[in-house]
Amino acid sequence: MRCDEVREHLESCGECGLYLEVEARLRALPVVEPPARLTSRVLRALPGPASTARELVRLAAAAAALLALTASLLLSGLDRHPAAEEARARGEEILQAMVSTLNPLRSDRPWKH
Amino acid sequence: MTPDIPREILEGARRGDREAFRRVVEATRKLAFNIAWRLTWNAADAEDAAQEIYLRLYRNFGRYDPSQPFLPWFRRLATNCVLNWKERQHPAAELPAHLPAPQEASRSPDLRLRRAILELPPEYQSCITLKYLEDLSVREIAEALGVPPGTVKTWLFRAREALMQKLKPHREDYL
Repeated sequence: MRCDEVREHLESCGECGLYLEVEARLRALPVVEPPARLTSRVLRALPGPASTARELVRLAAAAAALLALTASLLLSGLDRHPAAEEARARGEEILQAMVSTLNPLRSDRPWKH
Repeated sequence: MTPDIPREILEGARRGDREAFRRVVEATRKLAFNIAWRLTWNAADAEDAAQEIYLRLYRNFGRYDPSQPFLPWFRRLATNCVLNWKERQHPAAELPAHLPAPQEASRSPDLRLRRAILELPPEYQSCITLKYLEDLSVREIAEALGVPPGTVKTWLFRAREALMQKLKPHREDYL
């Protein structure tokens, strides 16, 4: 098909004319400038690195809570409760069983409890 | 529009260097914002969505393989991120409120075209955006969307067909 035939068809065919016009409008859609504040806004929204001081405060709080819990248990005499004694004895048994199971695997230096 | 980012900057940003990340943002902000704008047609939404792109980039930079080109990976992340963001903001394919109503849009062929694009399925919108924003080839769009080139050809064909169907009743405004 020659150029003039194509042109003649485009002038007479509404469907092809619309196709070309839509294609031209799609290509002509503007490229816009982002707002100047975008970079600073993004950087502000990034998650910050965990600060060492904040980590130390969290560790200290956890240690203090553990200490308070231990102290309250000792003061309440709960550690001398028969159930606590029994749990301690069971723990000893489990530990002994673990040591005797693992010792044969270490021929050079047996573990001692 | 298509930024060229030095390798050492990309590697720094991957390691979590915030200054390197800032330079990546500077280099890609126009591309990111325009992808977001063409998928929302609203400046405020595009800004929010662009921020979401960079938060996702920051969290996922470690997944970028530095032996591969950065831009296809970035385009993919940006396009998926904006489509997800839109789904959260306007669930169930509901059109955003800022778009003109059909009768209002009928006064402007460009507004009608924008509305018609937003009414397309998300994969067609992605194809149309990447094709006409950066004039990418079918192969480049396929890389960006992570689908075979044949799929991109089909999506582009169907997207244009769908646009034609939507705009045909207003043919006289376009000719």
